[in-house]
Parts: sequence; structure tokens; C-alpha cells
Amino acid sequence: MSTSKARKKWDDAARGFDFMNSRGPERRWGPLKREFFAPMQGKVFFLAVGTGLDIQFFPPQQDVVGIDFSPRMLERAQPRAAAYDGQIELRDMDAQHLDFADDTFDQAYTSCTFCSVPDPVQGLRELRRVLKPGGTLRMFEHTGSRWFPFNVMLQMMNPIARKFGPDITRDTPANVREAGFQDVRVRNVYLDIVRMIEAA
Amino acid sequence: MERRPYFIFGDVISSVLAGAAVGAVMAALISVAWPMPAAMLAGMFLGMALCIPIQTACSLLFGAFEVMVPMMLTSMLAGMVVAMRASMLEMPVGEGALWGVCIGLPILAFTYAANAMLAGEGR
Repeated sequence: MSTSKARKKWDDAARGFDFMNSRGPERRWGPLKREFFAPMQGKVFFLAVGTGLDIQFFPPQQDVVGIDFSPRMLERAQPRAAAYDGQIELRDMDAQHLDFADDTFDQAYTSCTFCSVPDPVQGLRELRRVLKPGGTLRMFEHTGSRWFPFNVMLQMMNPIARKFGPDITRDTPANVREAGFQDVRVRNVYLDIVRMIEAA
Repeated sequence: MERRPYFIFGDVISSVLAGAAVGAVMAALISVAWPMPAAMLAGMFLGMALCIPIQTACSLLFGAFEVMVPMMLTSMLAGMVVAMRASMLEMPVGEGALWGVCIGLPILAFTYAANAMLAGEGR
């Protein structure tokens, strides 16, 4: 899928995004996300901010730059960023072509992002470029499964899922390695489908 | 492993709903006039299609993948098994629903067991 089509899909999804995600999924993952974002420090990059639902889980007093390639999502994220007890700058930007100098950020965070970036390895290479040497990438992502019957079911569901939202079969840990990250650690949150990934 | 009663209750309700709905519809739709292989195939795909709106509603309240995975597996298997059974013997709708529930709950238990096995592990 081209970037412009992907942008339009997420612009269209922005209106119902909070309705779909703010109760069940966010309440279920809330404690884990709080733990996931807890190590924030230094100059932090958050890709992609969406409607800003995750901002509630950020520790206070952080200096964060959040991007998204959907202007409609960013519009909805703005009040949440303004209410945050710290600094969040929101920018309209494509993950595959980041408008930042090399070695800008101490940490990068993603949350259910690389299921939707059209070229995930290119996006991850860009993340690696803007991270300072020794900087860490932390990801809360859903991926494909390597276990039967979950892998078969996700493959069967994927054409419908991709039409309305994310790809549900990606091997994001492999993409992280392919993008050049060396020390990649994975922790399963739900089966081997919802996972926390840390890389440097 | 999920320990919060609200979400455990939600997982159970979601699987029961998916199994009962798919089982009932398959029992209503499939008759002994269907060849068994066609009935099983139709049951699997129709079950999945029928489950999508139910799963969307349950996800709003109880979570994303934790709800979707057992519900979709339930709908595929319940659709297939109930359709197969209904193609062999006439099956009342209520019995189809019961079969669906009896398939959905063990599948939920299986996903909980698989999750306990895989939790924390990674590659």
C-alpha cells in the first residue's frame, strides 16, 4: 500500500479510533503500557502518536516529540498533548522519511505502529538514524505468530484487517534486526502476538 | 496471565457469544441436503464472517487480540463442526448454539494455556 493510501486510511479511521480503542484495549493494556513507558528519559521520540491515547501512560515531566502521518489523528491528539504534565511537540511526518538530523534522540518509542508503516524496514532504519549512539528503541507492537493455529488464523484474517487497519502478520522483531539494530530483546505480552521489543 | 475478573468475564462471555451465535446460524442454515465437505467449508468461512461484528462489539469492552484470537478460532471451528454435524442429521438451532458454546469454552481455555506457556518468552 502506498503512503498516500495509508495516510487516507488512517485519516478516515481517526474519527472512530478513540471509540474503538479507548475502553477495552487501552484498559486491558493500560498497566503494561504504563510499565512500558516508565523508563522514558532524555530527548524522546514517539512514533506514531495517533490520537494520543498513549499520552496518559507517559511518566510526567518528559521532553517528547511525537509524529504521525495522519493530520486527522494529530488534530485529535492535540488536546491530550496540551494536557500532559511535561513537553510534547506534535509534528505531521512520515516515519519512512524523518525530518530530523542524525543522532537527535536518546530514546524512541512506538506503540502499535509498525503494523501500519507501509515499508517497516525503511521506517526502522530511519528510527535508527535519528537515535543517538547507544540510544534505545522500545516498541509495544502486535505481530504475526509462529504457532499453529494462531498463525493460520491471522493469515486468514489479514486481508480484512489490512483493508480497515493494520497488517496483523508482520514479523516486527525480524524487521528490527534487518534495519540494523543489534541487541534485540522480545517479551511476549499476549501469546507471541502482542509483544514488547527493546533494541539498541 | 489475565487475573482481572472483568476481563476474564469478558473473555468467557465473548467466547460463549461467538460459539452460540455461529452454532445457531449454522444449524439453521445447513441441512442434510448439503454435501459434508461443502458444509464444513461454508461453516468455517461463514462462521468467521458472522463473528466479525460480534468480535468488534466485544473488543470495544474487553480488549483487542485477547478477545479476537479465541473468538475467531471458536467461530472457525464451531462453524465447521456444527455445519458438518447438521449436514449429517437435522439439528435444532438451540442444539447448534450449545455445540458452539461447548467448542468455544475449551478454545478459550486453550488460548489461556498457550498464553501462559508463551508469556515472557521471545525471539
